[in-house]
Amino acid sequence: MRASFAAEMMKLRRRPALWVLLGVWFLLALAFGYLIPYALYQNPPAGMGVPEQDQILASIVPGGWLGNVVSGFPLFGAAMLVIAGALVVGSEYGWSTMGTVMTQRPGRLQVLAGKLAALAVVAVAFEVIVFAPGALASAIIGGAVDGPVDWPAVPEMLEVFAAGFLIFFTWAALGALLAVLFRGTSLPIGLGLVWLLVIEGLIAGFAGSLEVLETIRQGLPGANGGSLAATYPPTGVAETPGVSAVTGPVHAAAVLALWAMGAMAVSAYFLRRRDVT
Amino acid sequence: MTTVRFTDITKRFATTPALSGVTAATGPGITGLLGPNGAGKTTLLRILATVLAPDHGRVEILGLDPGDREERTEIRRRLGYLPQEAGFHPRFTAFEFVDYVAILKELDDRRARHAEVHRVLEVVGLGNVAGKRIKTLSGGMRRRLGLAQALLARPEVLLLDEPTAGLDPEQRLRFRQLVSGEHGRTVVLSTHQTEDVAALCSRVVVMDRGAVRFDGTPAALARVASGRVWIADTEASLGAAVSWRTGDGRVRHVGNAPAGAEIAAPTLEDGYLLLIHQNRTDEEAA
Repeated sequence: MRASFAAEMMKLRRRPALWVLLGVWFLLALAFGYLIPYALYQNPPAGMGVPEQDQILASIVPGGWLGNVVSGFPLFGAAMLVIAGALVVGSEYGWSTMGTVMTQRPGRLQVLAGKLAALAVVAVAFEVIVFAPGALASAIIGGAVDGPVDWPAVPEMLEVFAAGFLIFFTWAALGALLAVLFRGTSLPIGLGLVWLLVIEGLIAGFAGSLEVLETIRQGLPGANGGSLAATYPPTGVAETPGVSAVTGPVHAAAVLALWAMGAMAVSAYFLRRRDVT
Repeated sequence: MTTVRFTDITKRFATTPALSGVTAATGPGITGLLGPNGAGKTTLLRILATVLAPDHGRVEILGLDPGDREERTEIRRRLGYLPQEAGFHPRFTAFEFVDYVAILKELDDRRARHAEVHRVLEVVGLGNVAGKRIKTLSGGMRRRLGLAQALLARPEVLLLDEPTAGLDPEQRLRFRQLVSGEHGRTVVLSTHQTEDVAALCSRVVVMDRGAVRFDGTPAALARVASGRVWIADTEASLGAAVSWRTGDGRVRHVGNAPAGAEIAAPTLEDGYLLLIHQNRTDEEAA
């Protein structure tokens, strides 16, 4: 597995698509997490009262840093990671390189393990690229408005970072699973995004009317990602898309872990059982 | 010395039989696997390369069983494989691609690995384009790049699937020179081009419709058509397996003699064509 992981990392560093995703994610997170809220705070629209302004400010100063950043994970971040997962695994089919990879020393499962380990690194990179600038932005804003500089405690930082990793890795593993099932990238990316952005939204929309849909919703990766992120609410933001506490944090983490493990197991089964082309 | 042995290999894809009881063995030297499209050559090579497992039968490579995980890993360490459609990562340079495969082959020491990558690139004549992006290389250069990755770590068994397909005559000649320089190794070369077999191989296995139809020397394959090759001025010949007008305006017939024909010396291609034709005729009759 060490060899396939090293080879995968070598390949990932040369993939412009991943760098583009990382860049887009960074810009989105910074723009919607800090720049736009700060602009609203500085130039409040007509009708916005002081309490609302204070709530916005609370989310973009150091005290609201973790919740503000992680609130973008369940929807926008997850979309990036499902694309990354499909690209990392599915591109080998499109390039016809799977045969070459599979005849070197690592076995099929080791190749998959190497790719999933590389996806774990990608998930961490997607966290760092928004948590670090988020911290800097909140410190700058906190200094500029002369607001409170109360950084979260280190254990809380680690907990939120772990929760974010679970959300990201689950969606990356699901992207990888779709790539194995459909042996490519386009369809898996399309299906993954449709599921995340449309299907889960529709189920959530009807869940209030149909009890069975509410039960199903409590087992879905998107809803549980949102629930996990909702454990660390960005102070003052009433509702962030995709972030609402449908289940408790322990339930959410357990369901996400099950989805991730299930995706890896099913990927391994099909990769091992089927022809590689 | 036998290095590659396969016995009674059967493989189906859904309801389509790809190999039906294929048996052969080979050793050091170049063995040509000759057959028309769909004969099962690629499936057999992929089984030998440990990409696919047979449904039935036994494979032995360098005395090892690919069905055993440990032994399969050992086989992969000692085997090089050029797939029929070798794909490349589009952003890699020639050097990076071979280095990437070398990492997968667990050549861990960076300095030694890079030296090995440079060595194989020099062997295939791509040392001067090592830093060029693969997408800028010609088809022939890409094929040689595929061979370079197969030559990593000096494999004892080299499996080449249609290595000269789509290459121009000069590139094909260049490829032949490279492959013929691989002394002491077991090379299995799959092709449907008889010229490659005639130029390179000391042994030829002919496959058709998933079965072995001939196993012997190229000279013996040519002798299959001995006394069955004719030159005539007329095109019509009821008993000919194949006929074609040659450059000098006369017609070459392989099979039964047309009226007024002169007998001609058979080539490997004549033997191959006659063998495939007889096989098809026998199957249809049955």
